[in-house]
Amino acid sequence: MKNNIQIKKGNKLNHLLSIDGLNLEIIQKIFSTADSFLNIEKRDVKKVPLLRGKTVCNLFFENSTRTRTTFEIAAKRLSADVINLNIATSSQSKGESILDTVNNLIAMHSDIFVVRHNQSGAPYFIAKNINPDIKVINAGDGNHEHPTQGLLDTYTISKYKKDFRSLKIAIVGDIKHSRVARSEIAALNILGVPEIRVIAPKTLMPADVENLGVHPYNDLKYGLKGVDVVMMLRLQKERMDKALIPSEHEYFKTYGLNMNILKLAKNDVIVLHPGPMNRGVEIDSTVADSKHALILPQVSYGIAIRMAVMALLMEK
Amino acid sequence: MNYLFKNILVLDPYSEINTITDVLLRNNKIEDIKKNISIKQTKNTKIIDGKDKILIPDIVDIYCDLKSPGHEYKDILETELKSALKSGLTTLVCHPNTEPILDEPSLIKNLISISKKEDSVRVAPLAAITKKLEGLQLAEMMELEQGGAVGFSQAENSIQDTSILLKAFEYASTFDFTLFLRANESSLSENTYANESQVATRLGIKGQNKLAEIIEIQKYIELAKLTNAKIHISKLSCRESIGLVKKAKSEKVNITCDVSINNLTLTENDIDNYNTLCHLQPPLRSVKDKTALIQGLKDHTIDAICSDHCPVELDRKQLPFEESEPGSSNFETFISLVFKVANENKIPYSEIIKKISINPANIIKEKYLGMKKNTKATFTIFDKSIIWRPNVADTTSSGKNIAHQYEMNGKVIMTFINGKNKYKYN
Repeated sequence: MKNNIQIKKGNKLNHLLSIDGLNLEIIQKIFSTADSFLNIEKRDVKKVPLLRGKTVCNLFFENSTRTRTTFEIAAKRLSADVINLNIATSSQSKGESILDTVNNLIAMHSDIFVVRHNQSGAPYFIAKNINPDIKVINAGDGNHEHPTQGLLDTYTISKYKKDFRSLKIAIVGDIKHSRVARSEIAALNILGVPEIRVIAPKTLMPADVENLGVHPYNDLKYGLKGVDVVMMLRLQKERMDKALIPSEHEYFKTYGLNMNILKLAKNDVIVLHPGPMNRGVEIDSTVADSKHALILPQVSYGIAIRMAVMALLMEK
Repeated sequence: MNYLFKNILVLDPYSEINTITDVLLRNNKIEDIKKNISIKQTKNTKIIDGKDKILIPDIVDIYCDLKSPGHEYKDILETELKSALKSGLTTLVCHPNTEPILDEPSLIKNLISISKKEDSVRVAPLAAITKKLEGLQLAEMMELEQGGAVGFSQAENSIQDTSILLKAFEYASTFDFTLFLRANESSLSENTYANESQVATRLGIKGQNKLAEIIEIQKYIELAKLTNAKIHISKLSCRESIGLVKKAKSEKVNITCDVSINNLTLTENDIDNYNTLCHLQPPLRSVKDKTALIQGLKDHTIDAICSDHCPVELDRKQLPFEESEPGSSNFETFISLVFKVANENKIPYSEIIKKISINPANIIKEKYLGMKKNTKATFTIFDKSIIWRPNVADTTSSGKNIAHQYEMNGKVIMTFINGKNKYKYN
C-alpha cells in the first residue's frame, strides 16, 4: 500500500490492516514479542498486566466464533477488558452505515477494534475514519487479508525451520478467494522466502498472481516437489455453486493432500492449515494426523501472535 | 455587449481555423475572424487580450449522467446545467437511466424544454432502446426520435437476450437511428468493482475480466455487419477493444466510439488504498490499456472523448470500496484534463478538440457550424495560465465526488451561448 497508515514514527505498528505494507523489522518485532508470551499459558495465572485498563472491542460484521475466541483469549491474557459485538446480526441489518456504527462504538472508549468484515478494505476504511488513538486489527476482510493468520503461520514455520531464506513453500487451495493466502504470501515475501508456489486449478487462481511474488502451479504433484512447507487452505463449500469446481470429490482427487503426494515434498516437510479442516476435501486424515501436521501448535502460536500485536499497538 | 478577442488561439474544426487571430462578436453574432481587427472602444465593447487563451466552439459531451428527471435527491438538473456551463460544455448528450426512464416522448420533450427554459447549455437526450431499459421490449423509437431524442441507449445496462438485441439493431437500421452501446457483458461484469488484475488481486476486490467488454464489442460488430445499423460504442476501456473497432472501421462497419476522460487520465493503480473516488464504471484499467487508448485517439480509431460526468452523493462514496457507488463528477475538470491529455501525449490541439466538438456532433447528427460568420455562435474560452486544484467547496455540481485530485493547468473562464456571455470566471 502506498499510503501506509499502519506504521507510525520510529517504524512502530499503528494498526494491523494487512501484511502488505509491513517490513521485516516489524514482523521480527512481533515474533520476538510473541516469544515472550509463549510460556504464559503454562503458568497458573495465565495473565500479564500489559493491557490493564484497556478495552478491546471485537467488532465482527461476519460471524466467526473461532477467530473471535482467539482474539478474546489473547486480550484477556493481557488483562484487557473485552467487548464482543456481533454486528452481522445487529445494526447493519437495520441499515446503519458502517461509519455510524463505528462512531457509536467510539463513544464507548475502546482502545482496540478487532474487525472482521465481508468487504475487502473495511478495516482500512474504519482506521482511516476514526480517532487516531484507536487502533484497528484486521481479523479478516473479504478476499483481502487476514494478517494475524499470516503472521501466526509464518511464526509457526519459524519454530520448525531455521532460515526463511532457504525455504521452498507451497500454498495449496482456493488462492483466488483466500484472504489467508494473501497474508501468507505477503509475509513470506517480507521474510525473504526465495520460492513461494501457489497451487490451484485455474478457476481458483487470481489474475496476475505472479505479481504478488509467487510461482503459480496448476498441478499439485509438480507444485509440491521438493518443498519444505505446505500451507493448505480451506475450501469454502459455496465455491461449487459458481461452477468454480465440479465437486468436493473431484477436488480431493486433484488437489487434496494425501500421504502419497506429500512424499514428493522434502522428508521433513511441515503441513499447516488455518482450520477448520475439511477432511476428505482438501486434506486426508492420514496427513492431518501425521507428524508433519502442525495444526494444533498453530492455535497456541496464534494466541501469542495476537497478544504480541495488541501489546505492540498499545506501545507509546 | 460586443466583444473583441485580440490575438486569441481559435480552434475551430468546422472552418479548420487553428491559429492566433482576432474575433469580433457584435450583436451576439460572429462578425469577423481575422488578424488585426480594430474597432472603436465604446461602453458596449469589451476588448479581451487573448494571451494564453483558447477559443473553442460548441463543446459536445457525448456521455454524461444528469440524474434527471428523478434522482433529484442527488442533484437537480439546474445545478448540473450550471456546472456544465461553468465547465464550458455547451451540448450535453445524456443517457436514459433516469427515474422515470426516458422511454416516453413526453419525458424527452420535457427534459429538452427544461433545459431550454434555463437558456443554458443544450441537452441532447438519448432515449431508451428498450422499455424501462429492461432489454425485453423495444421502446417506441420513431416517436422518441420525433420527441427530440438524438439516438438510443441502454445507458449502463446491456441487452442480455441476443435475439432482442438483433431486433433493436434491425429496427434502428430501418430508420437510420444510431444505437449508443456500452460493452459490458452482464454475466461477466456483475458484482465486479475494478479491473481484474494485480491491483484488484492484491486488494481482494472482485475484478472485471476484460472479456466482458471485448466479447460484447465483437457481438455488436457482427450484428452491425449483418444489419447495417449505425452503432456508437461508449466508454471503451481495453486495449483489445481498440483493435476490434479499428478493424471494423477498416471493413466499413458503421461504427464510432468514445472513451471516458477517466480512462485517459487514471489507471487501476489509482484505486490503491481503496480510493472509492476512483471506483468507476468502466473500471480503471492497466497502464498498457491507457497507452492503447491514447494511441487510439491519435490514429482516429476513437472518435470522441466524453466527460463521463456522474454525480454521486459523498455518503455513497464513504463506504468500503465494493459497497461504494461508481462514478466521478467530471464536468468541471473535463476541459483541463482534455488539454492535459493533449500536452502529455503530444496530440495537436486541433485534433483533440475535434473529439469534443465536431466528431460527437456528427455522431448525434447535429449540424456543427463552429465559428461560422454571421451566426450566433456558442463557444468557450479556456485560459491555459490558470493553475488550480479541484476542491469540494468550489464545485458547482451537486456531485462532490471528484476522482482527479491533482493540480490542473488551465481553466474555462468564459462560456458564450448563442452569442451571449452566460458564464464568466471571477
